[in-house]
Amino acid sequence: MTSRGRIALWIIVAAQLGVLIGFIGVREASLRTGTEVVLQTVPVDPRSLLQGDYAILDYEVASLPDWMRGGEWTVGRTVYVSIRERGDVWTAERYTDRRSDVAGGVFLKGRIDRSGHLDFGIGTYFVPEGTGRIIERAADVRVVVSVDGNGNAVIKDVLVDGAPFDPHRGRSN
Amino acid sequence: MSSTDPGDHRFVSRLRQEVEVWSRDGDITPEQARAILARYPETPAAGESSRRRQRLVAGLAILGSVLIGLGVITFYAANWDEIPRGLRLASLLAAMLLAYGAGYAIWQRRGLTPHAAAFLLLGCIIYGAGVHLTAQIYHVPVNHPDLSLMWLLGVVPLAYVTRSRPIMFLSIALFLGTVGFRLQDWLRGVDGAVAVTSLYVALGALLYAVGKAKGQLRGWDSIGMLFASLGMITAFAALYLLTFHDLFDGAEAVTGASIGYWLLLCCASAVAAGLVAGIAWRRSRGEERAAADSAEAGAISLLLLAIILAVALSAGWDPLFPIVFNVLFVLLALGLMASGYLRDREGRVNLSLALIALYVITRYFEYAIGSLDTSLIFLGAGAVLLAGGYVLERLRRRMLANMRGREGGP
Repeated sequence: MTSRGRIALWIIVAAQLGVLIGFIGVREASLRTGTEVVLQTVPVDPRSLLQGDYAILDYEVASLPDWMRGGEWTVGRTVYVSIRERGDVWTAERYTDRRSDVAGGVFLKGRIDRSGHLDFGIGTYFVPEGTGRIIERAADVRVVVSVDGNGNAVIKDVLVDGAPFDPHRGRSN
Repeated sequence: MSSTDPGDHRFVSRLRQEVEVWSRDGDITPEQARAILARYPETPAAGESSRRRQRLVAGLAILGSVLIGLGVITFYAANWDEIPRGLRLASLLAAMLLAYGAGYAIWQRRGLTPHAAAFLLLGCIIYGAGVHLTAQIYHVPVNHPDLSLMWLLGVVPLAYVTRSRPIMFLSIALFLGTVGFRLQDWLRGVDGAVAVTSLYVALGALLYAVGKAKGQLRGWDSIGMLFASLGMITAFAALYLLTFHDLFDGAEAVTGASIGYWLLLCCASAVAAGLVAGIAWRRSRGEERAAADSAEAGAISLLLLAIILAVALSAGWDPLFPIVFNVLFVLLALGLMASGYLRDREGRVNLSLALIALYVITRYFEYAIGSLDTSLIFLGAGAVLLAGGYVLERLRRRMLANMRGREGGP
């Protein structure tokens, strides 16, 4: 093994560590510095092979308005949604494909997925094995999300019937 | 030196492994490597036995690392709420460093043995697990397009630095999987099965061409063969799907696809065609089986042209394209057989016969269902399998016997 090969190996390993640590850093920064908003959801409960149990969260703000269905609004297209606090939850105010239209306020950045909804990257909430049913059976599920200045969102907490999600509640049942 | 002493067989086998490592690391020149090996000739039987043993050891080591990797993933997935977040991340990073450290230590002492490669592969698997499990902590879905890309970009450089076949295999598999599953997230408007399948034909041809090009470089022939084999399998698998008329029935034109898709398809096709044509031209100057290479370059270029036309014109051309791709599939399978026969590649002959058998059985069931009685379908299928299997096996044996006869000839 040449010294160049040795150095290259450890540079790559360091880069892999950097990717993982950078990933954590970006998410932590979004969590700590973003604006906290509460979004209304409708959940379902499948299971991930790689990542254990999780609940799929379908947000009210993820439904596209009628004028955005079909035509040029194809899968993968980026859409910005400006949101405003109304009562206990934040609701959609405007849908646009131009970021400048929503700048200045709180907005979410999403992409149109294959089901015709918007994917904001917060559609999954991982829960301890066997506790996904708590969310599935709840009458009201809201998600506390931290949104940064670029519209990227990270889940902070899930409110099940008004209280923070507690996996032990399901296990004791 | 006596070539029949078992102790000497082991010495020669070990020496051959060492010489390969010295040559790859640049400690000795290829001429010196050849001179050393010429002093210690290996009997054919001992050589075959040694290769078989090495393959077994390598296979077991790789299987071991894959199983440990799966164990790590499922352990964290099942117990993620039991372990504190900091400890979870620290233990994952420690496991990754431990695997790389063990691989590095063996690599440095003994060269890139199967065990060194297996530990490095384990490091790559734990890195991928780390990406997905870190994402889990922040509730990022497993199908997020960035995750597989992060894994791929972390593994590819290591595959090139180590030139390890298992790590390169993982890289290629991640590349093909990432493109297939995440293409629609990166490129807008790529919804049709024709578009995605056609892109796989082009990517398979590109992998094959890159493999051939790598095979021309000193020390890269083994990696080149891996690229070429996986490329060939990918292209044939995608082309097989394009032989089904259902894929084209009601297909929408892919004209709405983003410019990125067209760039990817056309660039992959152009590079693949250019590389195989370049290699054929280079060989024609050295008069090394130039006709076979030129025919291969022509066939690949024709296939890629058909692919681009199919993507551009698929809507409204549904009766024509399945016929074109059926003809191309059969011709390319026969071409693969001829190429394997002319170049003494048993693997190609076997693959081509398997492809022809698969094609005949598929078309039989496709056209028999709905037009024949169920009992007649099964009777016919049995007859096709028995007669076809007999003919193909006879053909295969005859071709392999001819090839071996040529090898052993004067």
